[in-house]
Amino acid sequence: MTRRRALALAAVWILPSALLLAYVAVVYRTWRIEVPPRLGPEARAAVVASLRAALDGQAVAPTHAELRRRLPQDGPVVATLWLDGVVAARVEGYGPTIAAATAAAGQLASGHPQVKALPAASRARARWKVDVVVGRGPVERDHAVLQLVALHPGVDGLGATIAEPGAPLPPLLLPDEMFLEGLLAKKPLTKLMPEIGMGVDFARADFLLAKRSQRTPAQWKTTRKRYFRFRTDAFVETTGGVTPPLQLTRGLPPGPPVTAAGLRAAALAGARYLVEHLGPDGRYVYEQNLTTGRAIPGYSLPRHAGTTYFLAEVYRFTKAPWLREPIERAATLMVSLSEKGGCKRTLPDGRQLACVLEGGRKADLGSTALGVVALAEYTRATDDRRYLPEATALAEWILWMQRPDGSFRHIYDVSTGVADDKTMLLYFSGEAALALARMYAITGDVRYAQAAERALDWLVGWYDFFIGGFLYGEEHWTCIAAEALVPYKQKASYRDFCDGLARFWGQSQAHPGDYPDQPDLVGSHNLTPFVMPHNTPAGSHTEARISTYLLGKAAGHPRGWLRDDILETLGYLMAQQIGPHNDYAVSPAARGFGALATHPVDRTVRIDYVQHVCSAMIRGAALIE
Amino acid sequence: MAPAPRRDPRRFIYVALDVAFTILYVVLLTTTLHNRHAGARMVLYLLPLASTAMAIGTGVGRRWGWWLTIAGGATLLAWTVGFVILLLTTAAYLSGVYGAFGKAAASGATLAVFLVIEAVAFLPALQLKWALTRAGRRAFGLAPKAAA
Repeated sequence: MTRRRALALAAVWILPSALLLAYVAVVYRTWRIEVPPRLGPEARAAVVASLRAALDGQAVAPTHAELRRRLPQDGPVVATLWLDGVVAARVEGYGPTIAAATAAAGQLASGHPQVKALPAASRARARWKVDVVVGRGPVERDHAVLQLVALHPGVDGLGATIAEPGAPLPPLLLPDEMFLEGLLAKKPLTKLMPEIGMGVDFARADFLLAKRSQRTPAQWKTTRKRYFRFRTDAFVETTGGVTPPLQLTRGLPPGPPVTAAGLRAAALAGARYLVEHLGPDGRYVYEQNLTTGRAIPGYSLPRHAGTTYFLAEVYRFTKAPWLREPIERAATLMVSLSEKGGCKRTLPDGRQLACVLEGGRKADLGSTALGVVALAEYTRATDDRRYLPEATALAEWILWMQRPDGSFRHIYDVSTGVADDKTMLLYFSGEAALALARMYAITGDVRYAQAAERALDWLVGWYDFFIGGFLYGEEHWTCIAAEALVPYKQKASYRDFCDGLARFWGQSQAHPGDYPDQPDLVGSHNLTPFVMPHNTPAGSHTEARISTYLLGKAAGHPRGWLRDDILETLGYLMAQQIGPHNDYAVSPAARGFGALATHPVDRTVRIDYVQHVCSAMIRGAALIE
Repeated sequence: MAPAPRRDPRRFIYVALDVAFTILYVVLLTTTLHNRHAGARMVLYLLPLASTAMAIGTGVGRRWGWWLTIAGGATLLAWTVGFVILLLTTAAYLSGVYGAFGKAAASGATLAVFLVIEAVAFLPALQLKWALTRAGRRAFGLAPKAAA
């Protein structure tokens, strides 16, 4: 082979790869925002001390060594003064170093009319949240697909440089403002799952940026500008300043350590949230926005029942006296609905049936099944059998709805007394299996246990197909029911199924190092780092995984890896829960302590989010012990 | 004067493969690989168009048939290169913005590259190589290219 031929051969094999590699590096470097290490606690405290002095009219430049670090494009340092969940003032200080930009922000704050107008008590109560802008990068707004992933949600902010002589400073939307204003993850990926969204609401972002640059939307449209993403090192002052300011990621500080006491306190905080959102009529505030404190219309009876079950479960573990009356209030509502719904009937053999429904003539299996679970849990927790007659009638209806093969009919027409043999809905079969298992636990009536066994056999057997061990639906109730049935029967098929399901969920759990830029997501359950993980599935999966662990333990094979996965997820969920350390942007009207939002960048709370997550917490505490 | 085309069985094999791939592309594009963006649809329909061109060119032979085969094959290879570049751009972009492309996404992208090479680039690469050889040119009825 000639030298020329050898070189040509090498070039053919190496050049294309080298060119593609270089191309990848260029694209990566263009879009990457490299951020410096985050400020240490003392540096953060120095920044906040300087801003706190500004509240009293004193401009004091911070002097900590870390703050001498240069700021690209002069920052800025954005200081937002939060008072009772509302922005009282916001200033942007530019400077070549963090110290200089902080001093500039302090100067602006000390002369800010809204700051001056604050009474001393309000100033003391207010908390500074600081965003040091540490890097900028381009943003893709126009590409049909890439604009869905234009910003890293909750980590990237959006700004615009106005390309006009004498133009004002760039208007900025901070990373947390992006989700507090509801700009993120609102475009559903598919109509089948409208709750899973991506992308940015650029139209509303433009409206807010125009407002910040004191232009009308029409003026903004014709303004020559260049949009950019930016990242910040964010931290918030603690209440009373008792500890150094807390580092924030997606508006949340790191969570507390996972201990039995911490989990129990977190579960009780969730229960407290639900009790505070329970009306005199026994109905919960079903859904609300934590930022505005406004309730969102809608109600779900299965979720009402599931939430009441959780409260009874917490009572069973803690015996907290303040829980009992609210549980009875919520349970009484279910009983009254079953009485008013017109579902009651007597079978020829004398058995009485009842189901829970409200309005209309169609009763669903889920409302009644979780109603039974809640009433049975109350009985387990209190030994008070006042609801047993109603629970028995409801359970008889569930038995009546069961087919001989163990499956269930899910819808029942009250006016005709006919069950729908075709419609199948998510969750209901597993919920019914749990209801029957719990009825066996409180009555000892073997009919319930046998029916629960048939139901579980059907649910687990459904997965006996070619790729059945590789794909699973939302079967968390199935595994909770399997564990509830342990006193009656343990089956290897249930353990195998739940082990497989736990492994399947474990594959979607982020572990340390999986997502280098997103360490806050460790423990969450998600399929991709590009869509925000929801808190509720992490909670419901963990409830089922605790049951799976207990199934294994009952059989003498507790799974250590499963326990580790469970505790990792519980750590993630504890960080997500709203408390005094992370409530700076929560409206007092929302009474948000103990709440769990949809996901890190959507501050909507629904009762079942709190139910599932906090149920996992209270049972997780027992797991640690 | 060009020599008469020689009977080369590879010519008929390539035509059969071109037709088979054309049918496969059309079936996939009309049943599975739907796309609501007209631009993307046009790009995807380049595949059956180019493989049809290769089938016609190789089947008919002669000079214009040879050029049609070369054009169809080159289009498919260029399509593959473009697709690989798009995949890499997406991966690099997502890695830049999110700091992680994810193990599943990275292995998925690599698999997509291999699949595209196998499903789109493999046949035209072999067919072009053959069409550019002396034997291939003779099969099209063209004079062998003078050695450099």
